Amino acid sequence: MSDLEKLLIKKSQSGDVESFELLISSYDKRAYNIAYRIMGNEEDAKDMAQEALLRVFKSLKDFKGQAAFSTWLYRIVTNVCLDELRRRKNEKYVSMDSTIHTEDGELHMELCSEKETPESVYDRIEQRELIRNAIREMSEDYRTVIVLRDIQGFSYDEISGMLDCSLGTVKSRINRARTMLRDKLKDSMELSRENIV
Amino acid sequence: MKCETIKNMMSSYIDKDLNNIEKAEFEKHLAVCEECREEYESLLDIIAACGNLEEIELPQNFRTELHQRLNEEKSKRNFFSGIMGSKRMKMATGLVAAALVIAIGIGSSSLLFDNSMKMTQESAPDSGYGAAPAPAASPEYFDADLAMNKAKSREFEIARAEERGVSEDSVSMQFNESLMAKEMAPGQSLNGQAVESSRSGRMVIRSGNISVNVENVDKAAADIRQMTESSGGYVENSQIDNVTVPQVPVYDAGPEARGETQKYANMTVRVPETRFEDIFNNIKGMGELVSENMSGSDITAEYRDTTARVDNLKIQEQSLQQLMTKAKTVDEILKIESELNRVRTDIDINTGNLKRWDNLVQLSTIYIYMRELKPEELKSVDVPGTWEKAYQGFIKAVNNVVGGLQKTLILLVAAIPYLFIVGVIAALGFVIARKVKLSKIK
Repeated sequence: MSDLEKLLIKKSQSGDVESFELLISSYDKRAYNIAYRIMGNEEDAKDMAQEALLRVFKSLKDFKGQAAFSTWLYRIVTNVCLDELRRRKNEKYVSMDSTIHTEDGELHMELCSEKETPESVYDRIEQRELIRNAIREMSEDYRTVIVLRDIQGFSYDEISGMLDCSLGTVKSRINRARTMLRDKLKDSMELSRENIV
Repeated sequence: MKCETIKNMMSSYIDKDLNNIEKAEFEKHLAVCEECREEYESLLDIIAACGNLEEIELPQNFRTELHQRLNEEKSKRNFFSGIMGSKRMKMATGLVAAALVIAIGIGSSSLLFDNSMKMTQESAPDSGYGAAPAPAASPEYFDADLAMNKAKSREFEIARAEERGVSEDSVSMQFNESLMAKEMAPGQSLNGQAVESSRSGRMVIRSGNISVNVENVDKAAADIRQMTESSGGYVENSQIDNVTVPQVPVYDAGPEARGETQKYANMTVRVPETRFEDIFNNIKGMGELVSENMSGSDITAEYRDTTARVDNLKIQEQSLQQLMTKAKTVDEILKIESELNRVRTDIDINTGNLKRWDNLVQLSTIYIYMRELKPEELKSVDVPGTWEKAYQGFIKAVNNVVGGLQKTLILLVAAIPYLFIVGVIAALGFVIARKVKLSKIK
């Protein structure tokens, strides 16, 4: 932690909003991106990221510097997102992300297939889109580790700090998550091929 | 190596988290096993693709919105601290406290006269410390020694703290302490009814630590034993050591103190909760106090939970017993029997806990550590004692001032009807006098 960061944390702890904004200015984009990948859409991502940053501001006085500030901040971001997802699940919300998005994709493919040749459609479906959908369909825990490790590139240590679980758990979870993601992608590729044909 | 193991290692290999041996084995396997190689490559692709996922920009209004919310949060915080810290609020609490003083003063004014004799006598030996004359104390009077155990003195403490300019926080702290003492009252009875009474009151396990230097350890230990037993408690543990180590110099104890034998005593006594403060203070007074602390842990919630659990288990036991009468086969009987056994064991364990808690609440624990010092040494380290006395004197003086103010207020308020009548008469007299004067002039 740099001296400037320490100073900013201290000032923020006493409630200085400007210092706090300066403090998080290098982290808020990444926080938003993490939230975006976990939540799956921009609107939720914005709400969650703001909620998380607000919570960081509120509970900053409890931050004793045990871990790096960034790890602590991203931990709050992931927690806020996961809490929200769990809450929605409990309230039996119709989840926006997985089903509807996949249906969306399929619908899109069918529409196109009438006009365009199968080959061009296949080309149009970007790998990115497939991955994005596949990640959305994963369960929160696995999605989170993929987001943190493979999209955001955090180290195993950082992730274990953020998720508050052991290094071993993180390792095995990442391994499972990647295998799962690959299986899902295989399926969806076959599915899109079937739809096209 | 099996493909399964290799698959489990893939992630670690990609993240360079394998040791050299594992790494070599992994690479060896990949060179020969096509399936695993394919899998490895597809994983690599996916991870690369994940890393290539575009980073999205913050929404335009993200920071301005957050700024707004942060400011709201800040002003919320300021609002609270503002209310608590503002002078107006302090004045308001001051007024409320004054009103309370008046109300209680009037309420207890009849008691005041009954008790004033006794209280003056009690405070007579100490009156030398106080600057103002000895007060005609009301029964709720604040006493430095018993500062935290008189629930009734709560209002006075607030009023006093207000006058001494003590911050809001410490006022509420004192308030809580006295509140705790008050809520505890129902559980204080030692008549075995603690279970019943505790359902309404609080269960607090109290304990205290005292460390004192005394002139004669044996005598002090005997005194403590006697005091404990006469109060209905018992000595749980008592140990006296005679040590001949070179003595650690205490403050300015002379060199002649070195190399002599010294006695230490460690005692643990259990005394009835109602006498806890009393005995604690008595032990404190036996010699020169080195340190003391009291603590209380509230087990009300656990206690209630356990009581409820026991109740439930008993109901369960009953229904099992009923079921037993209906049981026909040996198998059924055995099953119910074992279930009944389990429930009964649970009941035993939980009631055991309840009893233990009752015991802990009814009998407070005092841990005592005593060290024997020669009389001259005791005198030479009298510094804390002086401070203690000065502090008590200060408290007494504050008490006197407050008492005086309180009396004045009571007198003033009590005199209002008389003043009113006197005023009316005076006004009448004045008017008549003027009329008379006027008529004389005419």
